[in-house]
Amino acid sequence: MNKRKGEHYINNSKMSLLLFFIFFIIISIFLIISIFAPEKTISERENRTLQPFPKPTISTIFSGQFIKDFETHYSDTFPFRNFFLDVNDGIKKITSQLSFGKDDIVIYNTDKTGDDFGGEALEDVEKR
Amino acid sequence: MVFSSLAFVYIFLPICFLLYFFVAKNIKQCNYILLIMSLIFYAWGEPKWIILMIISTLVEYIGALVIDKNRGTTKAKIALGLSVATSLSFLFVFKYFDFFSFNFANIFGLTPKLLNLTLPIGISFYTFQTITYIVDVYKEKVPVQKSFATLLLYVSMFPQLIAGPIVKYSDIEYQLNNRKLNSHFVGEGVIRFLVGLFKKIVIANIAGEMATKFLDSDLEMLSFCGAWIGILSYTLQIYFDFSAYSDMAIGLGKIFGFTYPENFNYPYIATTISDFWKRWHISLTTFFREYLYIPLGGNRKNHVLNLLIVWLLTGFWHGSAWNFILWGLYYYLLICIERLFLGKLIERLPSLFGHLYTMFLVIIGWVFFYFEDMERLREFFKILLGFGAPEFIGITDKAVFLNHIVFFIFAIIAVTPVSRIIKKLFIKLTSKTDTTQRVGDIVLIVYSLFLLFINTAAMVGSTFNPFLYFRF
Repeated sequence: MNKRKGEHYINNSKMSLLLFFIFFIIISIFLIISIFAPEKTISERENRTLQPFPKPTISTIFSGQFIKDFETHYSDTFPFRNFFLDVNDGIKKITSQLSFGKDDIVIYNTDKTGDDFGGEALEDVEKR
Repeated sequence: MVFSSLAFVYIFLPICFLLYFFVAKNIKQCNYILLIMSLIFYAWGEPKWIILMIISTLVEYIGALVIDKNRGTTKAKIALGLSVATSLSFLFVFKYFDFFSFNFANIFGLTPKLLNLTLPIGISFYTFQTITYIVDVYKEKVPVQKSFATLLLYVSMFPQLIAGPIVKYSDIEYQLNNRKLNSHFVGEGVIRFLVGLFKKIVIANIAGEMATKFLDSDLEMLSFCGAWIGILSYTLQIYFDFSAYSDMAIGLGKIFGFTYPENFNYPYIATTISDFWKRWHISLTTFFREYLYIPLGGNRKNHVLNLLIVWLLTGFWHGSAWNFILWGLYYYLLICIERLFLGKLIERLPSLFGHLYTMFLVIIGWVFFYFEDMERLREFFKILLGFGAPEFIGITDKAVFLNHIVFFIFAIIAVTPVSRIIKKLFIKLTSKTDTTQRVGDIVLIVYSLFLLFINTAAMVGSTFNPFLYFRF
């Protein structure tokens, strides 16, 4: 067996092509779903409105803002987003960044404060 | 665009693969597709300065043509000098001008004139790559590239444009027009890419969160253990982050039939600092050795001075600030001491000593690398070496560390070649018969899909952006 470092560690060339093909099909399916899926505008889980498809203008494209908003829109409306967020919570549990309390309350370890999340104190809300 | 984004994996890649593998009919069309996709990739993240990359390439392209037409004359030498100087001047203006302006002004008590330009993505990499091209044409190591599109493809190829490895033109010249579809490469490239993606968005990101938690905190409150946990986390983060980019670059390149040189070789198991630098960012040290150190005279004349220039520039290349220069100087001194006597001494001792010695010095090195603010650098060193910390370990420090103990153990194991041993074992176990080979391949497919799954969840997770009303 003449195997150079890193070469041919998939034994069968057809299996290698199969792997690539499966990868390609999966990412293509997600692309197709995201193009044809119905519009999602709010996220109950995150308690906010989702980024809509941004308007492309000369200035927003040139400044990079269009791209930035587009990427936010794409990830906000990513297929099976909530499912993947659940999986991610599981990963975080294993790497112990999250603790799970009673009544499904999630304690999220973070240095952020309420201000970072845009929260208002109840008294400010009542004043409005 | 970054590799670790949903848009890259789930929009850019499927389109790119579709065009490259199912639309293009020959290698010329494949190259055009790669070029266009690479330009889109670059413009996606850098709509303003894509023109700079194209101009920089054009300068070297024309320069090389002039050299080729005027071989052996002074005209060729001038073309070489002018082209290299022009590309380097772009790099200087965008990356280093403000640094020099600021320091110059400070010395003379003037107000500095600052350009405040954002650094065009990848400029540190593509500048060096265009230089390898024209220098190698001059040295007649490679023939001149008459097709600007092909040269631009070499420079802008999206797998390696943003974060390396620095691929010499001579390494890739043959492959540009002569590579064949390699069925093994396509699948192995996918695996390599997915492994790299995992290293970045799972391992490096978690390590990074912990690093910033301690290193960016109020230094007056930072405990001794907190400082060490912080810098250890950063040590892990920077390795996994950087080597991940190289993995993804090499993997993606492989899918398209390119073989790039390896950039990392388990640097944290090095036994001396010299050994460390044969394993870390290999393409950069190779570049500096071949295109700076040896032309300056290398080992033969002024070698202490040559080494100093190379190391100062290695540090400075990483960032336009004094701490990076210090970092380069730090390694220069260590390498000199090792070459004088320390290296031989360490080789005689048991290897455990070498490992501990190297890791300790590398971790200290990362302190220089991390803190651009000289005050914070000084403060942090004091705490790290045992002075001035308010306590040995803080209450939350202990909790954070214990919460992540599994992660730390996993990450530390992952910096060792355990994965290479596992890979060798796997190959040995599965290569015996056709059936075991088939099973082995299926395992690899399942493994890859699992990685894709986890990676996708992590990428989605990083966009989690809840809006919380706080109820009191």
